[in-house]
Amino acid sequence: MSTVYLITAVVLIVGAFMLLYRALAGPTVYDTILATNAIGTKTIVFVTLLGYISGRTEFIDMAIIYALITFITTIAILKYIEKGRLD
Amino acid sequence: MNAVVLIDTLLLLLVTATAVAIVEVRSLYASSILTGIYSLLMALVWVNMHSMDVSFTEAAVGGGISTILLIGTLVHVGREEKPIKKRLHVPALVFTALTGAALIYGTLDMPRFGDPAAPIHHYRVPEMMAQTVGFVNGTPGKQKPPEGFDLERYRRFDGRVTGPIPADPTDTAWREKSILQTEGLIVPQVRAAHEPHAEPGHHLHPPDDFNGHVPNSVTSLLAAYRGYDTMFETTVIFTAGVSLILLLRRPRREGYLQPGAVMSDQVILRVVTKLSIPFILIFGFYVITHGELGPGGGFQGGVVLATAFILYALIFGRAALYRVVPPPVSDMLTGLGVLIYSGTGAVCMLLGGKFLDYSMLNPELPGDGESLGMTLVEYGVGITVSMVMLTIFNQLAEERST
Repeated sequence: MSTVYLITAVVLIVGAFMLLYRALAGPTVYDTILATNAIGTKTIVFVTLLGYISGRTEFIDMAIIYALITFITTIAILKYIEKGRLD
Repeated sequence: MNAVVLIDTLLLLLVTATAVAIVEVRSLYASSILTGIYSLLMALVWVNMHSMDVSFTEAAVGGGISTILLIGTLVHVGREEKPIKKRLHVPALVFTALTGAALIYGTLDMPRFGDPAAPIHHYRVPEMMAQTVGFVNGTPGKQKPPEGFDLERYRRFDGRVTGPIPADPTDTAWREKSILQTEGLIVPQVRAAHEPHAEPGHHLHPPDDFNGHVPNSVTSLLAAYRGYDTMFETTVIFTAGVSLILLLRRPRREGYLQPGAVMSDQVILRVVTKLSIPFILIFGFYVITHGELGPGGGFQGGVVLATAFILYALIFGRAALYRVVPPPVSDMLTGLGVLIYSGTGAVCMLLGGKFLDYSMLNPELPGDGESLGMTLVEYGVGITVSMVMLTIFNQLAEERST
């Protein structure tokens, strides 16, 4: 793995650590939601990066499913906060 | 330090931090959200190890459906944890420490991370990866090895073991050399395995036909080698769905058709949902159908299909979902999936083979028969899983302690 990609991956993980702190310390609910959403985005980039490094196209499928899942869980959480129910 | 190990260490630290956070946070929905993040990070660890199918399942089930179902549970139990007096429970502490120590002691005997001399690369698995299990023994119904077929080379190639296997697997010089090759992340043989032309063709297949077997060895193991286990796993999911219906569903006369909370006043959400649902459905079918070629399969694809319906219910309310998939239809489809799976097995028996011996479906080209059988079986699994997930969501959302 070339050094550039390794550094990129490490920076992404360090960023996720900082976001995790925000998710925990965040004064409001919305800070937590935004932070977890950003962690989701970082994981998408991370998977694509790993896929590029190892030259395997299947990793794109993983990235798509990550995007899908962060989208739907965020909507579920926001609906719960707004309406107090899911159906 | 090896780059893979470095990333793995950092990721596992992040996972541990998330786990501690889940325990410490008082607000229950914050810990539900963090559980989703925990699953996503764990899936990243699997991705780093290149075990794509496990990672796919972890992301789809752990990160997606479980989080939504946990939030569904919060609807019933409330947002905050009950305050409890925190005090040290000594026996519990001792027990936990002992269990942890025993687990760590157990890992001491395990092979090094990425060790090519590990038993998994030598014992049985190369044979299964090369799908030569029935092939070697010449079981009735399977093809015999053709003339001049170098089985050793074939096995080594698909088993992704670099270089000739020494007689003594503890030969350290060979081991170090192989580890060095693994550190480049791309083992030459792994790359070659993705180029079908690099390998001489199967005697019944043209060289571009994946050598007449299913390229994704995980799917071939799940659906063929241990097809019975997978069938009964599907049956377990089916049973869970049926039990949930029996326990939680209200009789129809009490009106399960009451409208849910609709979010259609949110224009952006409504439009984005309508635009994205077709693509989610296509992606779900792609994951199911493509399971034999790439990562994914019935379980993962079924969950993706279910998320499309759940998204629809979240935005347009439960009544709208029931107009699309009425409960009787979803109940029927739940059973249909298991029927497709076991029916495929029964057809193989009627054609003269054993139960779930897919090569019977196309005796001329057994490899194609296996592909066809696995696709059918994956669709069975996908239908059952998606409908059971949908039922769980519906029942959780329906039963409200108002």
